[in-house]
Amino acid sequence: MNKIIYGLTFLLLLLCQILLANNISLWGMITPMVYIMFILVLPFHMSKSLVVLLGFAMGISVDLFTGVLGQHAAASVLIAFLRMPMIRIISTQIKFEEHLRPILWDMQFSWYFQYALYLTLIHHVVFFFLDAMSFQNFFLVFGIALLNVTATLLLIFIFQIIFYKASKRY
Amino acid sequence: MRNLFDFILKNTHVFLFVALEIICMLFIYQSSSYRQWVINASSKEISGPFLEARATYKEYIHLKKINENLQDQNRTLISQVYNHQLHPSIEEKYTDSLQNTIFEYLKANVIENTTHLQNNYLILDKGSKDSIAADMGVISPFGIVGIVKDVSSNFSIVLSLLHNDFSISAKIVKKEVAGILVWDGVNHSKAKLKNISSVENIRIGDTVVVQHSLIFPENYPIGIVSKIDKQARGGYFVLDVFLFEKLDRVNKVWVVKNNYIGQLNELKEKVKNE
Repeated sequence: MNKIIYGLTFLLLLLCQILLANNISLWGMITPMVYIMFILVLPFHMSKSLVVLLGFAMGISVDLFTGVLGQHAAASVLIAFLRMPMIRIISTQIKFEEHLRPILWDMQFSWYFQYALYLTLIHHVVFFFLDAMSFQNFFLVFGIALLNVTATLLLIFIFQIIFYKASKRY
Repeated sequence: MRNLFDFILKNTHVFLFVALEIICMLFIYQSSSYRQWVINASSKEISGPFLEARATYKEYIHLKKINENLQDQNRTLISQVYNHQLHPSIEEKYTDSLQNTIFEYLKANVIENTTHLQNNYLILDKGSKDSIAADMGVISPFGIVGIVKDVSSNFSIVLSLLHNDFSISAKIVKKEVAGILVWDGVNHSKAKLKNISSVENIRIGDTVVVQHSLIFPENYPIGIVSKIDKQARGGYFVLDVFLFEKLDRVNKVWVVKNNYIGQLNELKEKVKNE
């Protein structure tokens, strides 16, 4: 059952990215990359290799729909790999209960905000510098990355609020 | 030995991560090689139909805007035709009629487009089946858009004007000044015209057009001069050019096919070999 749910999440987020988010072009600068929410919502206890593989699958699927193969995939694999270390760094006071998932309603707001912010930031900065391939316009590229982080985070929070609810203890 | 195996088994995800990142980097770094572009273009055979469906829907929503654009375009063309009939310039009277058939225009729709990156690409819904090939110019009703990078049978990838590798020679209308048009990565509605030798008689608002080129029709409009940098760098001046085409909204384009490109390339090869 869980597998089906995560499969559906994968498909829906991919469709949402290519049919909706890729169409957004605010001031020609902002195109949110909401598909990375898929990597954020994978359960805590999922095997690390599987998370990395799923991150790659998601990234390369999004890449198929844009110009150059590999950019989205490289950034997604990186955050899929850094997800567990990041969780360990952030969650100092939180007790991990078996039934909890890394979603907004299960965790404290500040925890989830940090979790989403750091991973999105890493993803976007890596992605935009992979595209620029130089530090010539460093501040410009970094600025655009930050603007996109804001947009992506906003969408992630909206999605979390609308489509997710707190897990039940079982 | 057992310890080694244990270590590998314990850290599968690290190796997996490194391997996948290397694969991605290979994909990205080889993006200048021909083979990579073939992979890139043929991958669009999978994603293309989705993008096409999306483009159709989008087109429907923007019908009003598209109609207005077409009207504008018709107006300009009609005024050109009638002015031409009334006052054909001497140059045009005596040019070879063959010249008019150098370029053929193939229509296509933009189905994917970005402007927020430093290296932007467009994807068109026509490919080698519709006789589009690499290195053809792409223009819109208002200005130039990019250069075809590679094609699959039904789709083609276009290197946008908004790409760090894009450059063409451009000149200012009726003033004997020419330069190289590039994008500096900052603003999607502005480009830079570099290598200008003098700015004395250039005014803000002058029109910038294509200089002689094998892939774009000569004198095709690009934009207007919006800022003049009076400070020379290494003996050359730089101008800001406000682009006529809003590249974040572009949807209907023409691919420019040069009917003589084969002959020209043959000649070039001959000269090179001699």
